Amino acid sequence: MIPPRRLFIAALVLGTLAGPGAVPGFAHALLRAAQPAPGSLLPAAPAWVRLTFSETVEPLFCKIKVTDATGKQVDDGSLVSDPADRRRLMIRLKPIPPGEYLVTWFATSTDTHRTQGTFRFQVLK
Amino acid sequence: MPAFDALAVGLTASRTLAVGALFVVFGTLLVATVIADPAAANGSMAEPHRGFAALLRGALLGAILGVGLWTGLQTEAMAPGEMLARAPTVLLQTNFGHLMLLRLGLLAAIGLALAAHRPRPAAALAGLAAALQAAHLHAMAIGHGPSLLLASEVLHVLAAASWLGSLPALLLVVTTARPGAATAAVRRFSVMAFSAVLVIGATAALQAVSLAGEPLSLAATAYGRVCLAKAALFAALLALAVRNQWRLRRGASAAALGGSIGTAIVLAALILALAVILSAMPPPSEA
Repeated sequence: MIPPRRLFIAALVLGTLAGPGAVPGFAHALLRAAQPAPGSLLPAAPAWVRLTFSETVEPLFCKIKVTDATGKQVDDGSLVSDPADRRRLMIRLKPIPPGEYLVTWFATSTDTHRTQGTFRFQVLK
Repeated sequence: MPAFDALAVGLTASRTLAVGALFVVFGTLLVATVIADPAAANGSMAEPHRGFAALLRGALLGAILGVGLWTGLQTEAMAPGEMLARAPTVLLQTNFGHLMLLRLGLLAAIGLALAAHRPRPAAALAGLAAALQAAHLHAMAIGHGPSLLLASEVLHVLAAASWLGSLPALLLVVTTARPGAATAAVRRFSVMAFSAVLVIGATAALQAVSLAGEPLSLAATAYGRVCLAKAALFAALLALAVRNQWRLRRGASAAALGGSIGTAIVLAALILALAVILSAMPPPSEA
């Protein structure tokens, strides 16, 4: 049997070394994927904007807003979550003409951290 | 210079109070049922057991107050300016709210078990309530159900609760129990504390491997500096435990350890506060 003193010294070394290394690399809901993709040039107008985050999110405390070049909102305002994957959110777009669009999102992860971001996509003529 | 954020400070304080008080409930019940010789509750351990009752009442009240404040302030953080209006939504329709309601239910059940003089079921309920803290951590948010990472976070929280949460009750034992009984209790506590340290070290290592995306620039970021401060306090706490063990082996009385156990309680509270601060900070890879 290993003497308790040696076990304790092993724990001391392990704990002291591992303590600062225990870094939560996924502590906030980060945007992992989007459709349309950020910066994409689309031949046809999309019907939805779909976002996938690194963590599960609380849909009631998340928001996606899509605006055109004049700042006019072009989504229908009703955010939908994917019951099969709580990391996914989507919003339906109104019929949109060619032009540049800005997606602004706010997310609250289930561990309550808030994140936000923006990206643009373009619908070609 | 960063602006003073009263909400962030209030959230950190309330969360530290909620978690710290819950750890003390669990730790005190562990000491009362395992460490402090319950068979001697009317003899050499009579004074500590009276103290445990008062400590448990205070810690339960602190936990309920902390959970209430944490819930209110977290609602304000999630829906600025709409705390009262959105509180029912947070409580009933979010993962955070469900955890808070479950925690309050467990605290009520612990109170009932203690009123019925059933400390062992109360200790089991307190362990469950402490383990719930892991549900606020990263494995659950990453969201793939049961996993080795989730198991390691549960074990990490339980080990921290059993070690750090027991310190106030241990202080009661060394300052109020009869000398021989106090020394025996401290020896039993040492075995539990050493086991807890091993679990904390092993689970922290596992989390580092699972979660750390890339090496952390420790001194270069605020996150890294908080990590370093926490590690330094942890090392100081361990050094204090080693010193106490050494003094006991050299024949010191348990009562002589009171001062260093008091210092350990302060260090434990600071470690807990830093852990709460870290949990709200984005790591450098996300900044």
